[in-house]
Amino acid sequence: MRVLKNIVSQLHVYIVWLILSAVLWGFVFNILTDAPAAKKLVLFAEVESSRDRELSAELEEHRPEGIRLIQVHSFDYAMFDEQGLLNADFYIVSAASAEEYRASFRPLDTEKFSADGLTLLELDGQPCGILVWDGEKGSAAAYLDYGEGEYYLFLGANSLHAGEKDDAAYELLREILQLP
Amino acid sequence: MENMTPLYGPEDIRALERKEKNSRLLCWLLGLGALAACVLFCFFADSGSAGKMELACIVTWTLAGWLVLYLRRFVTAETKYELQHAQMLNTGEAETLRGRVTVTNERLRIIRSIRITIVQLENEQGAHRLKVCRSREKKLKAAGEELTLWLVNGYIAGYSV
Repeated sequence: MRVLKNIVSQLHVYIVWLILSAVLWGFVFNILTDAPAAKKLVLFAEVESSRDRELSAELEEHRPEGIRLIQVHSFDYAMFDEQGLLNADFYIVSAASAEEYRASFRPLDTEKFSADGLTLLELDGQPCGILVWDGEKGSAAAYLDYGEGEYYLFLGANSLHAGEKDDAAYELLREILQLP
Repeated sequence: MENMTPLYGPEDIRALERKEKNSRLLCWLLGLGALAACVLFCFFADSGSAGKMELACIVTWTLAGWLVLYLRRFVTAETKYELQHAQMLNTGEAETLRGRVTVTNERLRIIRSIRITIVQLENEQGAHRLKVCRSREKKLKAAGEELTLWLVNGYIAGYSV
């Protein structure tokens, strides 16, 4: 009884501690479980909501060699990690926004993946995006809540994994396209 | 003072010092243990289990924090206050009063200090309201009713029959 009375008398302190713990470990957990850019692939999707962790887990089952972590975020997450958005390896963006984010994409090297049967979006005369959602069906729809219209998958201009020596991004790109 | 039985003997003071030290140590162990557990949760997390592991970190840290807060506020701090009180009683200048002693049910708590019980002493000069630390209440009751009390700043430091 005395213990209960003591707890009730300090209830506000315990509630503040609970809130602080949730905020603190929200940040610390992400910092401690993060990997350096050279060992991770990051996908940002311009969708209303996403099952980020389920999609990350699914993609991690097929992660390319040398990659430790695959992160998936919706664009809203950029408010916590603006640099992460700028340096992402992949973007899934609606056709309507593609021009706006043009500077963040790199042209696709079609020799590194089979473009047969895929619809490519050309920007400045170069293939940049791959159609992943046509408004009714497409890739990764089980994890991403696409809005109306078409959505394209792009490679990030600052990706460390889409070059000559390291093409892990292309390896994962093939997996993304196969997702239900 | 020769026949006085102090409410806080050397053994009582040593017990209080041990209790304060142990509760402080327990707080540190709880904090470090929780931190180690959370780091382990992070270490073993992958994308599939990240949600559960993050929740485990929050729950572990919150519960450990609650325990530490409780211990610090209601065990360590109170023991420290009682220790300071005992040292004050044993070093302060004492006066004596003899009479019929009754331990009342009136209990008070002084903020950032000890919990006290009011003791009534009646003699030819009248009734006196005195204070005793609540943890010493039983010891005083067991001493009997007709007592000489040693007082320091209105607090009972000891007694003789």
